[in-house]
Amino acid sequence: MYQIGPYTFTSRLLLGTGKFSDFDIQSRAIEVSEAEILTFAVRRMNIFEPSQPNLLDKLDLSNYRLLPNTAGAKTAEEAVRIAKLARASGLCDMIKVEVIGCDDTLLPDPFETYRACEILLSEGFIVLPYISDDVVLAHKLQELGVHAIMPGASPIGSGQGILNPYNLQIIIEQATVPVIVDAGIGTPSDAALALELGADAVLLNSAVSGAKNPVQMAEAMKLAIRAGRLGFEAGMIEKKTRAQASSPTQGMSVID
Amino acid sequence: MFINGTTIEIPETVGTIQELLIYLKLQDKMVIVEQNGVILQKEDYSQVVKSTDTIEIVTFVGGG
Repeated sequence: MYQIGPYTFTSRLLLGTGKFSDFDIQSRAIEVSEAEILTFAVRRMNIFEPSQPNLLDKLDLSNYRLLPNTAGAKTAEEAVRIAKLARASGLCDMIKVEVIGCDDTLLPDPFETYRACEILLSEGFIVLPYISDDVVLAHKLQELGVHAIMPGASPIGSGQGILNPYNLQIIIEQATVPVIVDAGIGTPSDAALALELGADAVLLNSAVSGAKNPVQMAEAMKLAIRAGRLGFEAGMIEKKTRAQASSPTQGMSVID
Repeated sequence: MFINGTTIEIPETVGTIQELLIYLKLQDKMVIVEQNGVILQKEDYSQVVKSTDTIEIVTFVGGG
């Protein structure tokens, strides 16, 4: 179990709700994943076609803790506005702060992210910033008082996996709040590695929604995340540069 | 009225935010309303709307 602000969670898989091809597959993937936290984006309602189906209409949102994001924001002020709109739904008080600083790489803007977090904390939000794997920024955001940090494994939607396990490990070691590895996870082994490194959870979207079989991938990810966490808790052996015999080296006369 | 970036003719019988949502058939949808830059809470939906208002109506969509 781990805690974000006042909330306690058992599932270490957070699931994004973007880019699923159909609602049925999406709701089955969510169910199989056993995710307790779902992420969303805030966008203009299509007022001309209100009957157009929205995935949210099919989900019983009361079963989940909602984590809207501020995707689309390029400044702290835009992120704060989106966060306030999301909270006015009356459905959530957590916010994933996502302020993109580069259209090409979709990497987050550290300065605007920090400013947005500062404002949102003063407004009473439960604040979870999405950041690059920047050790110093992660530390400064924790000092500011954020409730979790969400370092990216690699660029959003890239499926490149954890490009810098060294930085990620340092972020995890110095963390005083939960670390949720967000963005760039492609395979179940990527997710397992995040948990083996000691991350508290992983946020997935494209890796599941973009899989040929999203429901099966949701299950694979769930199992990988469990395996990674169990491995971390069990305490893994240290890597060595030379072989170490696993069979006894005494009493060898039987083969002499 | 300027709604979600488009000018829309709204009948004069629509006097409040709640009535506007009913007119747009959005009363049962999960929407959040911003009126002239001010984000409204659900209890503010009895607020009067004017033809000169700028309204934003947003919702949650899939995202990561």
